[in-house]
Amino acid sequence: MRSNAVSDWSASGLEPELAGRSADALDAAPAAQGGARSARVEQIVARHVDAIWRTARELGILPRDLDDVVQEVLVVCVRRLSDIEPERERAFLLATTSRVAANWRRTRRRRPADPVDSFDEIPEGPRARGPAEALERKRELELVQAALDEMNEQQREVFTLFELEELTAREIAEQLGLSESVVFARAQRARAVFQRCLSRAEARTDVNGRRG
Amino acid sequence: MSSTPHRDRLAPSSLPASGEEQGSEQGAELSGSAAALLARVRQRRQEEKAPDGLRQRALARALAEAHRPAVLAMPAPALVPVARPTARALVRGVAALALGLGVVLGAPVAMHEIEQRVSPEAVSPEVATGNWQASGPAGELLSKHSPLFRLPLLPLSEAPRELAPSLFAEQPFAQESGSWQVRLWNDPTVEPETPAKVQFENGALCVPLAAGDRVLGGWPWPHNLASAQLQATAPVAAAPVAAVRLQQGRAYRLSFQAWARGPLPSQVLLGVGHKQFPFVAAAAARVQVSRSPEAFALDFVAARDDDAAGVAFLATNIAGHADPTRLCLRELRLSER
Repeated sequence: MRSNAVSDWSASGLEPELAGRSADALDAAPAAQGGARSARVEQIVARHVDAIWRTARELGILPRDLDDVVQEVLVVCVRRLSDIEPERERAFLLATTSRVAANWRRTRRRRPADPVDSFDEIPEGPRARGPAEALERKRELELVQAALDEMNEQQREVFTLFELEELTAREIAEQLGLSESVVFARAQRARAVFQRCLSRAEARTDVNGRRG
Repeated sequence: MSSTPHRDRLAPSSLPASGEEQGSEQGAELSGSAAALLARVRQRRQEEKAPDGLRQRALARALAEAHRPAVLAMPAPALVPVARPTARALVRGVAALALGLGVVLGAPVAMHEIEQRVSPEAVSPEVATGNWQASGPAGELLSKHSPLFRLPLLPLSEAPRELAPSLFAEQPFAQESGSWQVRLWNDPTVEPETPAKVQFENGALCVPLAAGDRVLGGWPWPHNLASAQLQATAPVAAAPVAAVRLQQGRAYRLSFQAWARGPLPSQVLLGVGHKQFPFVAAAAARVQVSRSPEAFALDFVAARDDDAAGVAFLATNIAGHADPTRLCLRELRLSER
């Protein structure tokens, strides 16, 4: 059951974006806008929910919490819908995912997701063509996850948005309130961590290969 | 979706020469195997789809948020803590009283001196004609010439304590009372049903707030919300209590003490309003609590008659505090001004 109290109290402080608007201004919003708003929300969910889900997962949200985090991101998006330019929806959503994930980790004291668990939960990923390929894919995913876990929060955030979701540095800078040079610097450091992890893994493989 | 090779997107030449995080580590260039691995992982990620259940729940939540009616309430003003009377305040009061007595007793003398000193052309027509107001010539002149009468009004922190009897039939949120509730309200789209944990400390109601918690407290708590499950688990049994009658146009003051233990709550709202859920507020304010008990006063004029008013509070700990906080309230009083 919905409650009017939500609005009564929330308007007193939980929704600063509503404060200051006159009641008339809100009453005057035509019903047609409601339909257009819903349509846009549906479109956003259809287009971007996969990316939000993937990004949240890469940012260390455990599978059991992904539902909540994805919904929280979308609620933020809906509340700020009128401020989001359509061409920046994706960048906004992924940056919001990053912020929500960071808050989530802090408040819930989550540890970084276990690499095997997180990637084993991929429900509709591309199927491997055979056991060897499946094994190789799993190894690669574990490697990426290990590198993500080795990065600090800022590096992990930029690496996920820049390298995995392929946002531009400008988009990341705008959405996270950073300068582009900072984004580049963090991406550079994240790459260094990634490269280091890979080199270590390759060295281990060589050693094992020689021993085997 | 961009398909630009990552190597081109982060070429070292594109890096500015300065910056807070200018890379101290070398190796921004990925090796061929690293770049290939990243490309493969990126490609597979793009093909991954969120589970259907998650997708449907996310859509439902987003649409529900989009359809949520935007009802406005008057933005809550921030409350100013009312300082407790201290020895310093007492000294100030005595000094003010002595000064006031001196002014009153010395007024005839001052009046005489002023009348002697002020030249006829400088005196206003009222003074010149002797057309005084009820306060008399001394008061009129003093108001024009003495800085004592141009002092600013006393700020709220210096206001005298409430002396009028409280209009509350009982102390709201008192341990011995059975007519209030505090409930968890983490999902604001449904009515709160789960009783929140409460504790009592020196006559104060204290409500622990874990990270992400939001609680709603109401006195008197409406009976239509008291479910059987709640009555079985509530700290006190619900009992009827006389609500307060607010009269349109009358001025009231809600005073109380509030503080927090541990991290400060993200937000505390407290208001007087209709006792029936959803506690539409006749007046509400944001309370900026600190870690020590402070007295607050909310002055308001009732905009309409209300035969069944109560007091309610909403407290949230959503700012990311991992450690629980504890909000304490006591000595809630509502009086006419």
